[in-house]
Amino acid sequence: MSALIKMLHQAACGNLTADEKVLTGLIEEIIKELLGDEHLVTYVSLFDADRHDWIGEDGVIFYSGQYKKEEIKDDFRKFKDTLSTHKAEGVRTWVFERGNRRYPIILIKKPSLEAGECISYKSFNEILLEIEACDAGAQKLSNALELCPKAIQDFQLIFNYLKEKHFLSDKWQFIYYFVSPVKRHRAVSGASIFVHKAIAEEKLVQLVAYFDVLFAHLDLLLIEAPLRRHALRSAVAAIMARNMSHLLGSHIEPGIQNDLISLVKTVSRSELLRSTKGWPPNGDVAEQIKKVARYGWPQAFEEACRDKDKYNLLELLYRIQQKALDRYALYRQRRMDFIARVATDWPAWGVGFDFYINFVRPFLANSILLHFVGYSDGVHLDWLDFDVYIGGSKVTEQYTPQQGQPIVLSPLDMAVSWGAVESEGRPKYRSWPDGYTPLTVWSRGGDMAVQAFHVILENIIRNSIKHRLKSIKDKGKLRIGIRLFQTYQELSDAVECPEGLRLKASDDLVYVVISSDADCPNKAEELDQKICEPVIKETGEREPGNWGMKEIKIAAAFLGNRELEEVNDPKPDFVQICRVQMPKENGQVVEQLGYCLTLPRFYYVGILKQGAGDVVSAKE
Amino acid sequence: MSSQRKSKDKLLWSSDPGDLAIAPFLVVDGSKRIDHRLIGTDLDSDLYRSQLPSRIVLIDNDTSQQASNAPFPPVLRTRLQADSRDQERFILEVYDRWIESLIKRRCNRSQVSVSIYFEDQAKAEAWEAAFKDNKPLWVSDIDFPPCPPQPPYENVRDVNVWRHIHLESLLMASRDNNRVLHLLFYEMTSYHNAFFSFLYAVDPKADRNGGLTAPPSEGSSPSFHAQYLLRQLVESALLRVLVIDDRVAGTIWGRQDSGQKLEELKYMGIFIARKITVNAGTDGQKIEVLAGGEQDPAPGWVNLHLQENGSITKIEIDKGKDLEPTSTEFDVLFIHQTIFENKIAPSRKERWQKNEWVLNCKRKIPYVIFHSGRGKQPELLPENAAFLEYSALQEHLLQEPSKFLLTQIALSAKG
Repeated sequence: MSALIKMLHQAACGNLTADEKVLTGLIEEIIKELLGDEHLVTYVSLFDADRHDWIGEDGVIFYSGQYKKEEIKDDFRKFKDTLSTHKAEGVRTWVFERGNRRYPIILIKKPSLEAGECISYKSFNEILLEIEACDAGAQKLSNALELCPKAIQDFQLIFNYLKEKHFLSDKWQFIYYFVSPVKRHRAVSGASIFVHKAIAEEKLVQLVAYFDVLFAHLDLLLIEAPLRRHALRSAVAAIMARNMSHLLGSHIEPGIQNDLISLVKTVSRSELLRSTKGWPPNGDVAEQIKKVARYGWPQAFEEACRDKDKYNLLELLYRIQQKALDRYALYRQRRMDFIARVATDWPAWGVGFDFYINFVRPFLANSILLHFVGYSDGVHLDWLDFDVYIGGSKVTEQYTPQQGQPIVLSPLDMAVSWGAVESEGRPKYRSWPDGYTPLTVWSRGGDMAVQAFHVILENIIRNSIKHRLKSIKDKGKLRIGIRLFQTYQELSDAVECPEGLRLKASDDLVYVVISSDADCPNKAEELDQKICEPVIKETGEREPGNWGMKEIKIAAAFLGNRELEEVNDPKPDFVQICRVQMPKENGQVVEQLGYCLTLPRFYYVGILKQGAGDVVSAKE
Repeated sequence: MSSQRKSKDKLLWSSDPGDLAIAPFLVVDGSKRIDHRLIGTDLDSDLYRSQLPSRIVLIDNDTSQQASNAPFPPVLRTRLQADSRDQERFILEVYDRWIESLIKRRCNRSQVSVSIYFEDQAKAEAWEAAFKDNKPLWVSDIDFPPCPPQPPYENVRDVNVWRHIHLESLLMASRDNNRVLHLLFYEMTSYHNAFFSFLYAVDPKADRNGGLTAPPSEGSSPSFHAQYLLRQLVESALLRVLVIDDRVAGTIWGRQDSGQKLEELKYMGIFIARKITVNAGTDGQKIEVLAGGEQDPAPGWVNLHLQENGSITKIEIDKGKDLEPTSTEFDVLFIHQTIFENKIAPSRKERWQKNEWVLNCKRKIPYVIFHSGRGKQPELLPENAAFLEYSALQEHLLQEPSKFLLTQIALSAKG
């Protein structure tokens, strides 16, 4: 007993580093030590706020030294069936969820006990409610807890069960219902102890003291995980929302409102348009765009309506602009859905999407985003280009004119090829991916993982423009690399990390590296430290600073099918910043700063293993 | 993850069905003792299955019958001589059994015909060559027109994906020729549609990299991706989708070309509910109109009758003035969470009550998806229905309609 008291003392002092198993084990020890042979059976209700469910088989933990577990469980199921048949609620529901008042101890006595068998507890005058397991007792209990009339019926049903159908109905004389001091509807609710003899007052005092301490500690243990999760979820939502405001709200939306025509002006420089037969001289195009900028589209159209060529030119440019706006509107809507999703419940399902078609291509065609992401720094749509590799194969978007060689399209050209249409909605410049092989990956939450991928790309581009503008201006270009590796080995061969590759090695994953030719590869270690930073502190407060990096980390966790809690991991194995070898046109390689990510592989069929001779064996 | 989990190329094995939820199909050896919840019709079984792949195939070569009470979909009991050494063949055969049953469910036949117009002669010829002698058994005829189909469009098939040919042209031709347009599915597509873009980009002949590590296909048989895609396409085409959403209904109702849009959706197998009657014929009868006020009739729109507990009593398509509405069936239901909470089942506050509603609803429409733009709030949602963001509907239904993506996402989504 002394060891037990020592542990309890430690628990009371808050020094006990114990998990819930140790604490529930202590409950059993205490009952054994204090009640000995008087004890028949104890039922303990613990609510796990993290899982939103009661702990234990059938939602209750049983303790008994004398009776078999199966015997108790069978009886408990019968009891639950009885409640269900009569649509009745259990005692714990009435006491914890419905009751307006609480008593720390409810003592239920078998009716008609001899006076000598009972104890009058002097120390518990105010906190012990004593009732008999009969109709009058049901009324008294209901009144004392300030419950509705339905409670009386349910208590009557429960008391009758206890007296007549409970597997110890002929043995128990007293039930001590200990109510936890935690005042929440659902928490550690308490313990009901069945005994065949009244518990002596001094033992009852000890029991109450021990249980109060243990229940409080159990509650802390059980509530900590959900509280931390809520803090993390709140931090994640704040970071995502703030970054949306910072990036879309501060760069893209003002661009659309104030200088949308700059997109049209930039697009008019597309080689795709300029090489088109009958495309007017640059001066004519500039003049038309100037009119739109000065008077707006309606007046420009009105003026041009007498000249078919001018009208057609304006119509083409207008369509390109509107189609770009449509694509951006969908992007913005998806972003809002994505934020709502990461702020609530992370999906555990996914769908097979093609990596290039569903993940990469829509980003390359998001002309508005790419035009305005660096607009305020003088980096426009025509400055951006992408090098996409799937395995060792470079994928380019190409257009083949009726006569002539295929043209490789830049994001600037894609604004044209995705916007210019002829009659019946046919694209004027049909493009297709060259060097492409379908590669299906698992996209979490359908389009949500796509959005996560785009969040990462958006941040990397913005970071390059913000921190490496001089380098971009010197080159006159910002090239973003997207490289997919199908195995961990391929990834390891292409990257160099000062402290080794941290990403999880798994056959269930493919790996993506996003790089920027403007970023300095020597910064890899420093930036990786930033991405490793936790999102919240021990106290649940948000870690300040580097929110762009934190957003990349959150999106990478989502993309890699990780749990929300993992965004706080100081050594995340789903994102790492390192140096990556990117192929160059001339066959050589160049070292760049790369963000390494994971994407789940797509499995077409899941087969249940049921033992030897399965219809489809994993061994084959 | 369970320690019993094992993966190889395109297949995943585990003794814990929960591990397999990430795959579109769950295959179970039906000749062995199986968890009754895989085939049960009670709430407990439905809740269990809601966490598993939405296509469950029980392989049982001792029987040719569907398990006596198992609902198809999502559960199919079938014969299949399986050999997982050829993974791709195994995957395609599982899919074939599934599609055969869908065809039977949809039109009580064993085969359908398919037509894909690429507006690209070389592409059409490549697909034609690949599938000429390799069409699945459930395909009666597969056609890849090399030239633009012309009125009177006699080359229209049961399932049609045609590039840049408006449905209106087909309907006009059928009116001109006094012919009724008999088809199961028509979708006009374009290259900007992610589905068609994928279809167009897939090489039907050679699998340069059929999977992540699969060897190239031999001979002239179509590539795995082309074959798989064809099955996905036909599956999507066969599924009948009902949408209960005030925003979708309002958007379509308000369009100048509202009738045409409804017609296009109808031929894609997508219908929009406008009038919902709860507890018809009782004192508690309640009618909710999602678009267009009290105006009647509203041809092409769906009138749904259901009880407060989710049991669907009647689904009718309004045919217009003086015409009897036609009864119809659906496979997939998208329901706006707010409409459910505030209009259809406002008294069902508790989760078990919502679960019960969904179970009853599933007895008529096997796949139920709640959607909303407010993020997923598990505490407010039933546990046996999937959840999806509204933007998925906005994109794949209104902005860039794609039945393929809409249904593939719908059948993957979970709660």
